Amino acid sequence: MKRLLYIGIFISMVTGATAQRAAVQRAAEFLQQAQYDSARHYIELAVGHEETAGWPLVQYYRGFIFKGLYTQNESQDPFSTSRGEAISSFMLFLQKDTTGKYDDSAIKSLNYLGTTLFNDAARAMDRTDPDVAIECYDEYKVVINYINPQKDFREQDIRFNLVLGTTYSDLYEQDREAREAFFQKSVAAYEKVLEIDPNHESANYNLAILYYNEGVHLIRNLPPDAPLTKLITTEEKTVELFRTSCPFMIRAYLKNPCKKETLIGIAGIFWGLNEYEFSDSVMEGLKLLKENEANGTSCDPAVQTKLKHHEVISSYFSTHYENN
Amino acid sequence: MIKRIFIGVFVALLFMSAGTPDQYDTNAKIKSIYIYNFTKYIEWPDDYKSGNFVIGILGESNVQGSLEAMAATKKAASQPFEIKQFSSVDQITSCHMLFIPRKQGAQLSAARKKVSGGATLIITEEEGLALKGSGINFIVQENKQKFELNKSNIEPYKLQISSSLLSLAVLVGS
Repeated sequence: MKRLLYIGIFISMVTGATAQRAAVQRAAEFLQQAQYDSARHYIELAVGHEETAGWPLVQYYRGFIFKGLYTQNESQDPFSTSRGEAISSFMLFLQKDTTGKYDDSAIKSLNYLGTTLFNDAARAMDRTDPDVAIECYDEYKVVINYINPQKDFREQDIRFNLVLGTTYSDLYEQDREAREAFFQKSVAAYEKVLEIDPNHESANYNLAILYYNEGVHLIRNLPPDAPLTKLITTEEKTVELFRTSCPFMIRAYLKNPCKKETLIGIAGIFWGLNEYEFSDSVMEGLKLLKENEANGTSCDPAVQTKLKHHEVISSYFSTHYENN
Repeated sequence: MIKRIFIGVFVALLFMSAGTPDQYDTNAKIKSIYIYNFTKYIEWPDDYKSGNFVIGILGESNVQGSLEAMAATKKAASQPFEIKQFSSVDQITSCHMLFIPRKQGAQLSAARKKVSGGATLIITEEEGLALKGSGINFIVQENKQKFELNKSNIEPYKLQISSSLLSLAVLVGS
């Protein structure tokens, strides 16, 4: 921070003290004293005047002033305007500055501000506010990508979209009729993960569960005296959902043949599709898995893949989905 | 420090589960709704229109639970439903409908003899049984449940079928 003051004094010495230059000087002094409101007043005077508006160091100061305002007053606000202003100023500074002398501290500040955006995204997700989380996460990526264009976001995107998908599906399940849009948003989030890693176990499993449970819900919620026409159209929708769920559930199984829930899901899908023999075979596999678990034998994926149910599942997958 | 906060929150969020498969039996529910509707589209003789409307089930089936849930709130016209489970053919008594689950399909012939003389609609769920004595047989077409109807296994039992039901059924037999 001391360096900022020195820069300010330097400006004053080499340029002479016009009113605008004095404004920059005053801004630097207030910044040094952490009096950010006053500092902002003077820096905005400098930004508004043609003589100083184009100075890279004005944006540099401005970045620190708004960063100070953010940390002082708005650190709990995911929509903090001060943070946005700070980011813009640091970016402008990096665009304009040709000396490279202060790039490190500007980049460090942008990194800090970007990380706060990431934290806000996580906190927003934690309090089940996915739309805010998306906004913060996207902004985080813009900032980090600016300072590191080579940054690979794929792992982070996977984690973020997995949590996002689960958050949307939780919201959807709380009130399916009123929150229909959340179903599609959840699907879209899981699909983003699968675009990056088509065999991602959790994304495949979660997406399969979303479709499968939706199908079950449609039938479960039918009144016991539903007219036949309603029953027939509902069953058609349900079967379509089960068919959509099936390849995702099988991919999750192939990735981890030892997960009981996946076998329960496959058996349920087969049953719902009226493929009784396949369903029974998968239930046999599940029974064996549970028995082994009860005996203290840990599941070996290599052994699982030699059992009958694995053959049934693999063959169903290759017949129905492998070339699609 | 900030990064640590982030990682902590995010890792915790990653443990959020997308849930487990709902193990509700959709097929049983679908069949029970079909069965309820059959009571609306088929007319039983007058002497079957009083007292309880009895649906018998031979052996065990998940359909029983769905039918019992339906029976708790619905009636067949003015008749309360009564769901009876028969553990063997010998135990079968007079009923309006007799549901023979997939695993009991081999008992169809014996069950049919047991209810002959009464106005009992026999319902099965195994391929081919509509041609072996069943009045209505649940089948699977393109992964969906449909039903076959064999008039010659229904009308001799003094049951009248509405044309609406015939239009939705896969008709088999003569």
